[in-house]
Amino acid sequence: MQATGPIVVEFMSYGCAHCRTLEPVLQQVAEMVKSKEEIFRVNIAVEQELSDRYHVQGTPTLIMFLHGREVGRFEGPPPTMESILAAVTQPFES
Amino acid sequence: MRQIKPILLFNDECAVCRRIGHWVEKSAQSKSGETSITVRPIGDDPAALLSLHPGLDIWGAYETIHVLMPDGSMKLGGEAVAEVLRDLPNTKWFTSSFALRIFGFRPFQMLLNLGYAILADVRPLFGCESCGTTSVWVRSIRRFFTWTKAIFGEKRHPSPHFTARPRVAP
Repeated sequence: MQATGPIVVEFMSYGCAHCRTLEPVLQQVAEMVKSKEEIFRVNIAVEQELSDRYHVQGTPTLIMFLHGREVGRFEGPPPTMESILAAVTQPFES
Repeated sequence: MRQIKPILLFNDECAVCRRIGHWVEKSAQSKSGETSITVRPIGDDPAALLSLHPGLDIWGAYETIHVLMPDGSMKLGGEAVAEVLRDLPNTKWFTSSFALRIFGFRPFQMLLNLGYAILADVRPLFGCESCGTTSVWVRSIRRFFTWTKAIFGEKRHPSPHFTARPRVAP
């Protein structure tokens, strides 16, 4: 993760039902925070090396990076606007 | 390339769907080796799916069974199951019943839709690790399964997918 700004990476897979439930919420949150941070999606079925490197144990996992360093992680977040918004903003506030 | 046979898309991350997909693939072969339906996994490439059908969304494909028809239409859920059964040499004999209408209803198709909905709900009991949180009515059956497995000492295998439970790591 070379970027210096706040980055959120969702490790997911299309076959994961919980990722499917999370998707519309994450899209809305991405729209809300797009001026401050960027949200990317990594498909663990395709990018296995990347998910191994970041020790992803399951999907969905949200990892927050600042200056290329992991500052937060949320595994299996509940698919609600409040929890996702908090998950992708709070690690960058501290 | 022009599509000449229906295409059944199955969830290759779900053990139940994989088994059914392989059964359809085997059953669709005639003695001469010809197949009446193409069976393919949904996979991980949204663009590849869009090349099959412009209205095909990968999330939707994983959510419910899809059959892509040669005329460009798509059949979903119980209607897709009926189409698959219509295309198999061993099952097509009874599939005319799905079109039978009584007072405007199609009772056999409704039964098939119900059967599909139940199967979709109970898949986690039969090894689907990607089917998400089980429905409320399935949970009690699952608890019973877990309880009996614990009694007979079967080991649990961790799922690669999380269910909705908050867990924050520092």
